[in-house]
Amino acid sequence: MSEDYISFEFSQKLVRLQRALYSYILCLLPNRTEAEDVLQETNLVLCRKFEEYDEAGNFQAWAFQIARYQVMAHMTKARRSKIYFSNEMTESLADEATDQAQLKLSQKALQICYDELPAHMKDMAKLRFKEEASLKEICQKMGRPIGSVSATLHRIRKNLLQCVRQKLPALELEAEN
Amino acid sequence: MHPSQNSDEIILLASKVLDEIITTEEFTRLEFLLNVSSSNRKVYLDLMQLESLIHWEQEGAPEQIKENSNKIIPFPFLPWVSSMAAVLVALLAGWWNFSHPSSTGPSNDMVFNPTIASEEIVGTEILGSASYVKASSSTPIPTHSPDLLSTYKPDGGPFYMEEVIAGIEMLKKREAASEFGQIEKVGPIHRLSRMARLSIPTEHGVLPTSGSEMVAMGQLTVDVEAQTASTMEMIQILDLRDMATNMATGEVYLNVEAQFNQSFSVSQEGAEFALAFHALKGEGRSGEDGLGYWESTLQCDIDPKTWEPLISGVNLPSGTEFVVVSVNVRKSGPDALLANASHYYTDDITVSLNAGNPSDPVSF
Repeated sequence: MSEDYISFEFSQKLVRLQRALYSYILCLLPNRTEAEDVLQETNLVLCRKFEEYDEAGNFQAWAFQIARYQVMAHMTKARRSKIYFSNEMTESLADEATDQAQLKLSQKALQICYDELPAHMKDMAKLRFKEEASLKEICQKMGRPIGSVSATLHRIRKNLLQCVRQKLPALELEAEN
Repeated sequence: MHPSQNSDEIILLASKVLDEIITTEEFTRLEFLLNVSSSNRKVYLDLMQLESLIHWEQEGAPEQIKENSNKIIPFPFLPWVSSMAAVLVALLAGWWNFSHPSSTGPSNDMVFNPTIASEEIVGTEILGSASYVKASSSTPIPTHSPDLLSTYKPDGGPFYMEEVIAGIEMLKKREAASEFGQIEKVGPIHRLSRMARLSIPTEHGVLPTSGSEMVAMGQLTVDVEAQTASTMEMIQILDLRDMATNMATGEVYLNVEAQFNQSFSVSQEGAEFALAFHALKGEGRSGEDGLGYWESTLQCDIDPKTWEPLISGVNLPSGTEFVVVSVNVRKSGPDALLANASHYYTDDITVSLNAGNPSDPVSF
């Protein structure tokens, strides 16, 4: 690149897309730490390719394409020691994960549903999602076996998913009005 | 199976993936279910999206950028401050020019760099009247004598020898490339290189020491009982069969330089890095075909901002047909149990080979 910096408009678009980009990457690479790393790598590549970006084009589609390549490259490198989806499955998921339009409403619904979680589930959710405690750490702090912790986390996710799905139609209606 | 049963199973398996407790068999089952229908994939994708939002929400990432700044993107990834430090450093320093290392003389045309395609390395004379002199270093190059030949079988883990044998097979068949590596020709030497497969731009707050990429090593395998942790990454396999005349005289010198670094670590000491050479013949199956294995080691500090250089060399034994160049990382003691919380890197790897005069090597 002959220019050393990217434009303010480009940076605005990139910042606004971060949530959707992370969500997209996590769909293909279901490990938070690795998804965060790939997000960082994707951001660097996007900034490096700033001059190639066509302002008239679809920024999200362009960014998602680059993210897809970064995910595939990451999996190729690490495949020896980790379990990943096949390339074919990753490509299918990549094609279907592009619809991030409802993210904002989903986040709003999630906030409501999270507040409605029972107290014992909220304690564990805080440890896992806010404090990023591992399952082993949660077991030690709560004095419960790993199978019990895993089962509760599964129920938390299931409850939240069902609740968000129930809340979304009303929120969509509210948004339209 | 009823669709809702599929949905429940997918949520259960996906939850296990996210908590990193899924078994291989369960993961295979999850992939099978996702293959079955798009509605199954929708369940999975909805859950992944939810997971991303939970973390985003919990970590409270604001979405603001500095106004009126054409130069700075302060990415609002508060929870990932350490890993985003690399991006911020790059932005604030105007570090967007991802160029190859700058030239400082005729030597650079012959210096192997992971970012330079093999086609750019042309006209290299490997044998005899090479005029290239490697960049000066005040550190004398240690050279291992073949008299110290060892029957040591490198502990590269379960995949190392499989990769060596597969790599030699590729070289013998002159296969162009595979997921494993790429065959390149430099002068009369063919080599299998894994550099492209291993290279990354940046990671965990560690920037390449030069150029735009560095090599990321695999995660350390921890042996809890022995309190050790190690990994071995094969970088190149050199095919020296066309140098049989030189090899017969036993006067072929191989030198390797590299730099090493690691990401932020909670342990008290840095890791021990090593440059390793494994001389082989025939099929390359260690034991019957192993002619020798040598290592030079370096104790690295824990500062991710500094790269530590290591230079090593070996006088290859007579009859060597293939040389495996690897980089190793290991830790021992209580710190080894924390080893897999850090990440390890190598960069500026230079491999040079000379027939006749160890002070006048040629890099490739």
